[in-house]
Amino acid sequence: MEHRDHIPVIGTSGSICRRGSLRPALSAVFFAGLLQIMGGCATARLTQFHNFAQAGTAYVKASQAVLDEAGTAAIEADSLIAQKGRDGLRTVDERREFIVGENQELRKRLLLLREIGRHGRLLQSYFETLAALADPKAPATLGTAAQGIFDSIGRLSPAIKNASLGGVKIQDHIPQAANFVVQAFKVKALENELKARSSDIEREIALQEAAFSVISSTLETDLIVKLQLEETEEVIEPFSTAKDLPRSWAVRREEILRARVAAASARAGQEAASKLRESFVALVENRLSEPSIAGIIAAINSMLDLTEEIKKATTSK
Amino acid sequence: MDSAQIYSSTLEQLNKTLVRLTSPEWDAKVQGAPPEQRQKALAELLRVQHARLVLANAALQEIADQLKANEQNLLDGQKSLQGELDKLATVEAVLKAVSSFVNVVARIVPLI
Repeated sequence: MEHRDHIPVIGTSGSICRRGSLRPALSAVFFAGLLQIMGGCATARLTQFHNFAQAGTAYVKASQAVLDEAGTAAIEADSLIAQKGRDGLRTVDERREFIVGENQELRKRLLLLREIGRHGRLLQSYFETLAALADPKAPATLGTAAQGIFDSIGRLSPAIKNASLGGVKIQDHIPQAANFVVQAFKVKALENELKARSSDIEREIALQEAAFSVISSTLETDLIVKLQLEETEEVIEPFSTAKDLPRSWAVRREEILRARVAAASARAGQEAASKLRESFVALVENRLSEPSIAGIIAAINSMLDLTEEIKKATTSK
Repeated sequence: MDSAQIYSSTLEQLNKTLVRLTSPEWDAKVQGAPPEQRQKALAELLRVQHARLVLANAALQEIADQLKANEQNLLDGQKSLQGELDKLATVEAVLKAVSSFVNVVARIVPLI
């Protein structure tokens, strides 16, 4: 899968770079934008919308990586448990029934994770359309495009709201609606679009926030379970019983112990969605500031750190 | 408690139980137990994971009545199971509490 090795750079060009280069690229884009925001010129507003769209794109790429890890962790934890407990099932039929049942339940979970990812990607498209609408030379058809994307988001969100994961209903975690007033913009098509849909879009970003709040608790349990089983099999057992320790033993031990720390920080996705929502409100109110942008960058970097730590512990075996 | 709270606390207990049953401390304890208990420990590990997945995917509105009907048994089971998981005194006592709790969960969602 693409996300396991690379994190795409922000922007809409589709170019790909190593994860390590994301932060400087991200910072450079935003600092360039900041200079214009603080300049207070008409271009600044356009830049704000472009910067927000890029932040939204970076958020979606990073959140997709967390969703992938959530799915992977669920499957890997279940596989390790199945392998360990297999001898607890005495007959062929018992084993078959167990694994078929587990596959069925895991498929349901993966489907929900996929829907959350799709919802995020539609939001990304909406932010990109909004950035295009901020251009005074934007074609009139863009308003229709925004409406179409919004309709697709609206069709997808009820299924996510009503879903449960790890015992928590996503709808119960949606934060309260923010109160905000759409500012007047010179580009009337943009202003009309924001007046028509910004409140609903704020609620859709809140749905992402709620989904990540729920995902993080499940991801945390799956990761802890997986890492504990690996710690027993790959660290404790060889140390206790093997004549000679494998050469990679110390490295593997460090990876597992460090990944356990990362498991506890699985809430980064929720934080990033929360910052994105705050920034969206600031954008609509024409007050997107340096701290808002820095907040998104920090939260997205935390998501990247989390997935990086998890990957380290899962791919180097 | 409303059914949503019973649901969340039941699932949280299954999560905690799974974390404990996959811990190195529990593994060391089971390795020193008789073969029959070792086999039972593996079977209970699978039952807890299965119950956790099935319950997590279940729609609350479809199981609300069963949750309410089994509320007291679930609450008693959680208390007793958590007590055993905290003490980790004997393999037999932990397995008895786990089995008893999962049996109550099986009245709410169909388990294998």
